[in-house]
Amino acid sequence: MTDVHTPHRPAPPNALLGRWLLVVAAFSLLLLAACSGDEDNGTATSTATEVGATETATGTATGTATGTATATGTAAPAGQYSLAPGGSPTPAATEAAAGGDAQQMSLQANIGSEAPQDLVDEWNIDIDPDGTGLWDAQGSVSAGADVFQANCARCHGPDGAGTDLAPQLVLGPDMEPGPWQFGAPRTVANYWPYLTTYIDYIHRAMPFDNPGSLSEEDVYSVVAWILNQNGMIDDNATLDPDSIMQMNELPNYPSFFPCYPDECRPEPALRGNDQ
Amino acid sequence: MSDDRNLLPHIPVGPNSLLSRRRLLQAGGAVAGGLALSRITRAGAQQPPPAPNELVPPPDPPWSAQGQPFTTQGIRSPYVEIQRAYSGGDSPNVTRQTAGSNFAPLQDLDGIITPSDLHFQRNHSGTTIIDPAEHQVLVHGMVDRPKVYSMDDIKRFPRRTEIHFLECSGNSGAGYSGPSPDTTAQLMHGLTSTSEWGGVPMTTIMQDVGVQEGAEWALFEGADASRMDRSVPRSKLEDDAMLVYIQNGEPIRPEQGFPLRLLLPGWEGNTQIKWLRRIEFGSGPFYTKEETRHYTDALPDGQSRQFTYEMEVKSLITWPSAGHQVPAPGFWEINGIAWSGFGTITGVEVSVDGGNSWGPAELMQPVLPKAHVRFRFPWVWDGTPRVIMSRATDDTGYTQPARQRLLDIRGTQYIYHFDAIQPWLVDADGAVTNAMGQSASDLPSDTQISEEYL
Ligand code: HEC
Repeated sequence: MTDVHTPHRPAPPNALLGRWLLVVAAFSLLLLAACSGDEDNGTATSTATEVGATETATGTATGTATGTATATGTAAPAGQYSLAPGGSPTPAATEAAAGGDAQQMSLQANIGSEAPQDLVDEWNIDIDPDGTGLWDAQGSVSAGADVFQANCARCHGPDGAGTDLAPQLVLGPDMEPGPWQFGAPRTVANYWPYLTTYIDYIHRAMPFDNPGSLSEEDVYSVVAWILNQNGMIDDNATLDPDSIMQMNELPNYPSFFPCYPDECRPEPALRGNDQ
Repeated sequence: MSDDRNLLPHIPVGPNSLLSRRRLLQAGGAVAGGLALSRITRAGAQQPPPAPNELVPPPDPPWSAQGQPFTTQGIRSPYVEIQRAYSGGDSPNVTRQTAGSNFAPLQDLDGIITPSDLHFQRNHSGTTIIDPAEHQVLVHGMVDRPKVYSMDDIKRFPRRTEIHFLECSGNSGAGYSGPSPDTTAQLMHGLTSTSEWGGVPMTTIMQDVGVQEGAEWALFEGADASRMDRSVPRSKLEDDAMLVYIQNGEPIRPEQGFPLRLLLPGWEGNTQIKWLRRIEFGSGPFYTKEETRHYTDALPDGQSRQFTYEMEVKSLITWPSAGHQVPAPGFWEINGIAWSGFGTITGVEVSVDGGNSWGPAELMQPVLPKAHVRFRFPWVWDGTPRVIMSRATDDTGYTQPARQRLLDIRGTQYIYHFDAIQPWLVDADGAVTNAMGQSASDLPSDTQISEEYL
């Protein structure tokens, strides 16, 4: 026996009161709307200037290629076309853009600017497992020791063992690099699959409070020192794109398996409602 | 309407009533006050005059005096204590204050929408404040037309609005190691929130730049200090991904990625890059730190799952939950939330007897895909110790498992995607604690809880 009950809903006794209050609330809203007027005008167009200029420049360039004559200049006022995906456009919308729906109209409107190559070069910082993004430089374990003590030790500890401010980077002396074992701490020596990812991350995000402050050479050096402390490279080893790619698949690399596109979950034993 | 008195049942009326005109106006509202007054006078005229000793008015409570002036920002009642809790605690150190989690107060919330100022946070290097006028979004890589958009540009695209939950994939992770009895719904499950999001579908951007054949993945990257980045497969981008800049009717908050973030309905929060500044299309995954070192799920045999994207079906009772006090035996309405990243919740069952029997809860409207759903369940508590819990099922047929069944497969080092049933202990004195991770022998014997839920 349990005290499980079927849900039931008696009509609330104050339904009428509630409805009346709603009416009052609606009245007040009307009043408020009438009072607030159009104070908001005047700020809407303030942010377009700089980008707007480049937009015009590229707009004409690409406009000939993609834009139809009808789409530019005579923007359909909001409300004259349907935003519902697949919804059939009103006659006004059809007139404004031969293409039809709002999405087509926007695509013909030349929104945005051509990406300047120097912006792409500056922002395209990711280093991929095929080596794309690695820069030409050389780092050494000995130089890395200095870089680490100067820039990393205060959070990760002088030996990279971690503190309560930042995670452990170096396995303990009694642990060997190798595939991750259940319960072990996780470092570059036993968990990270790719060295390129490790370099990418330190380059993009460390030192935590001043990311991007290390030179490209210093990044390779500090990584070399961390690998050395983890027992992965010799004291006199150097890191450059070649040596990085030679050891790019790290000891735990074989342990990862993807659950996309073939989903691993829910695990068969957890399927169904049979508990 | 048969009886006008029904309209204002709490206001004493009569020919000699000392009900002040001011109070009447407050109760009725300025607009309808005059109308209400005349109705009351007519209704009151039919009543006998009150006896003299009824003429002493009750003292006005202090809040009936002059109220607070208007403010430009809304306030929460000072009587309502409702706040986030962050993992850094009192630590003054910058890393503890900027890399970590801020939990939404699930036990104090109702409905499905999370107030924006209480939305959970998971930051890896603080909340960054971006000037939207300066912000640019670069789209490049395997596209025909590499482009850069200003925020004004982004807002010109046709927009879409949808209600979805966001959840950190480490949410509820304490379930792997076992929480302590005082671990609340907030600290256990508070890394999930639901909002109405508005923005532009990713497919529009993809058509605008002309994504090339073979570009099966894209890298999304933030402008914050950690330059957080994740790879997203094209199929998801074409399915329901959006770039969002509106959250609950206002510009998205800095803590959720102002001025622009990626929204991938149902997927783990970490993939949904905040402060978005760069999208690069490529042929394969980019293997960023957060899809290799972190957000991969380590199994007992040492293998790790990668690209586990959807948040599985989950539910929990938010009232009563740990830290609450059930005032007395008798009728109480249990309520809670359920959600699934795989689809739509089709049912929630509640047990108030440690899982020996389950009854269907009522799903309150709206029931939306990949959004929190609120459920309720009437309960007459008999005053004995009880373990109460909920389990949800979604339209893929997946039902939340008992904790031990999940641990049998995933072990205790999996960290992410914990979605087992949450048991709460209601003790005989009405105090509620977290029963997960306790041993059955430590719980009152009449709860009859099966060990598999603990
Ligand atoms: C101000 C403190 C601080 C400094 C200085 C710092 N780090 Fe970190 N580091 C952190 C924190 C905090 C994290 C975790 C970030 C997170 O939660 O995403 C971290 C994470 C890391 C990680 C990822 C570790 C893992 O396996 O999860 C590496 C590698 C790393 N730091 C390397 C470095 C290097 C190299 C330097 C010096 C160039 C450095 N850090 C300087 C605080 C710091």
